[in-house]
Amino acid sequence: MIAIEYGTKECQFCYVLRPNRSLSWRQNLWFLAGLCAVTLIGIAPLVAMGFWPVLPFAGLELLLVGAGLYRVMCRCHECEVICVAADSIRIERGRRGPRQRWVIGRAWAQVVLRACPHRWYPSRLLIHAHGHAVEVGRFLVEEERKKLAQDLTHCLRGQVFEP
Amino acid sequence: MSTASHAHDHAEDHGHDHGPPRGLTRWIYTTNHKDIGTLYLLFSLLMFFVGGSMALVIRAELFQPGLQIVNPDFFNQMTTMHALVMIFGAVMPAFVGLANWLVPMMIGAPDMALPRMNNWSFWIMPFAFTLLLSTLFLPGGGPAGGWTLYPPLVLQTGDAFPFVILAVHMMGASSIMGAINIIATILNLRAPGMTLMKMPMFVWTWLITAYLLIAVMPVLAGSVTMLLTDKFFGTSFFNAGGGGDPVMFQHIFWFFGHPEVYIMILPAFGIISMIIPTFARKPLFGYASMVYATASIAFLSFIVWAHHMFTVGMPLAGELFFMYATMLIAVPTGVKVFNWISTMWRGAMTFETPMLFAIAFVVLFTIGGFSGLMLAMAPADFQYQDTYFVVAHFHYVLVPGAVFSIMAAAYYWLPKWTGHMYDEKLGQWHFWLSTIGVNVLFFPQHFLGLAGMPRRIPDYALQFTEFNMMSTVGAFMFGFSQLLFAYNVIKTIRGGAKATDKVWEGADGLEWTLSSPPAYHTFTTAPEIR
Repeated sequence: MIAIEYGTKECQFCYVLRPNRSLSWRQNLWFLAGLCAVTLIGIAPLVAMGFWPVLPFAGLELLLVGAGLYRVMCRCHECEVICVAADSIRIERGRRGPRQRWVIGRAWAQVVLRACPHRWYPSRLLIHAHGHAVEVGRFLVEEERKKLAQDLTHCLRGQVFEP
Repeated sequence: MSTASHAHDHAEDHGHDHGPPRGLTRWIYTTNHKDIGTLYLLFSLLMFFVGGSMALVIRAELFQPGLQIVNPDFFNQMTTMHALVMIFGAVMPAFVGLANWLVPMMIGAPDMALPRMNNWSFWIMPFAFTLLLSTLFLPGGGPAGGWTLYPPLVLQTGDAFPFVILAVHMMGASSIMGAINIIATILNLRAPGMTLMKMPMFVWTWLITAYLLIAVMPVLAGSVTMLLTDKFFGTSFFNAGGGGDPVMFQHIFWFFGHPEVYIMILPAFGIISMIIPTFARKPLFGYASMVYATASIAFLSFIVWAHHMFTVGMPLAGELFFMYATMLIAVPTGVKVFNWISTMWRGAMTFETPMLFAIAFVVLFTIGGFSGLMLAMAPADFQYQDTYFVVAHFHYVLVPGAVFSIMAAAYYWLPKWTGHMYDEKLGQWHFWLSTIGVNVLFFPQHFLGLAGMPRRIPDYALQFTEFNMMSTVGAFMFGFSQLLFAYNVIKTIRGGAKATDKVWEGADGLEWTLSSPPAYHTFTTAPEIR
């Protein structure tokens, strides 16, 4: 999902990119807690009666469930902010706060939408400058990535019209 | 200076339909949900024929009294392997395959949430079943103590024993990974606007099934590991001589085993809830009650396990509890049957092959449900326990129940998957031969059981001959009619009349908004949910 903010203090145009997610962290945690509770309540009498080998399998499995959900949640909560200022483009990436940050001179920036040479994978959107490239919007769906490429191109050319 | 360049390739110019790579590596390395769904479904079809062949060996031996074809030990290996192959190799993978194909398309997700794990969870299966089936060639043969692996009998298995346990662990690991993927996908990747109570019933039933799978699989893993340590490491979990309790294995096994039964039937409920509204041209009657009924069945499945073992010598209070709890399951199940019938009531029904299988499911599954109610009554169960009545009951639930629903699903979604219509006439022949065959096969087994014929015997008393002959004729009729199904599926994959995108006039759901066949990557644009 792409949200656009116009004319903030630092940025002329600010693109906030997020993947689609249908459940929040908290709801995922509640789900996992419920699953753990059901599983552990189910096996507790068995463990109490001495059939303890059930416990490590349950623990391992719940760890795997937790790891799987954590990985998906992390991917779903990834956020990228592309701030286009008068003379620079600042790209920040992170979940709760900026984890990575790049600043590119606006005058030298190029937007490249590259179709993957392997047909298996989706296209890649890159912002190039001085031989360096930063990929943005990896988690976007194809249509959104194309739209973002167009918007950024127009924006860098100074052709963006506010709605 | 700012410029933009768009490096398009040929595929991108054609609506981003990145086709799949070709060759064997496509299938080995694939992380695409459609490819993995196809692999699961083909694997399950193969296992259906392997397990079916074992069933035909059993039925051929039972055609007449006396020992004609196989020796008793091999007969017992066949009954054990038939069950393991059909449950873990045919029915469960078929449902996982359907989930892989359909869940992302139904909820508007581009793929499963954990695609690499999805690849692993499939590719464990062929190795697990190669291991399991290879035990038939080991000294002492394969496992012969029944799929429930009751000790101390199962501990008499020859060299095959550790291989069987490892194979069961691998199947369990595969199921768990599949379940985690389905849960993560359904919870996190629903399209904007797709709230839980807007999800198709198939998605709902799979969410609950995956929850059940995760809750009970460690119990299976733990119990078979304890068998292993009892056999090889001198522990006495189930060895009465060392202070253990073999009956506790039955409790532990069925604490897994009964939810497992629902793991095999809840997705079938979801499929039928998708098909009947399409061909009745009416929305599903009582959607919310269907969801709550599914959840209730799942909950009750945890507290009824001991109805499988009424005769082990339980306290009366325990028998009463498990009897009434089991009977209670009839209530949400009845809600479902009522809702399916109400959906059909005054609908503009047509009877294409998927609908025929769905109607047969409703009727024949209900027969299996009623015989289940008879078995739920503890005093009556003392008579029925370990007779052919039990065999008839669970086969009515699993064959015209789970298997028919899978066939209905295959006919229903095959045009969407392949882009070709299946041969309707062949489908109808398949349906009628299967339905007549399955009833000739299993209905007489009720009478055999009521007359006292025990299950898992290769020879029997003369008075059981006629019903056994009927049953065997039905088995071969049902078995060979499945070749029509395989032929129809292959024929449809290879070509046929072009299917439209919607395929069925009354169909409703996101998957029908896609092309037939759908592009390799679908919903790269999130759909809009009304």
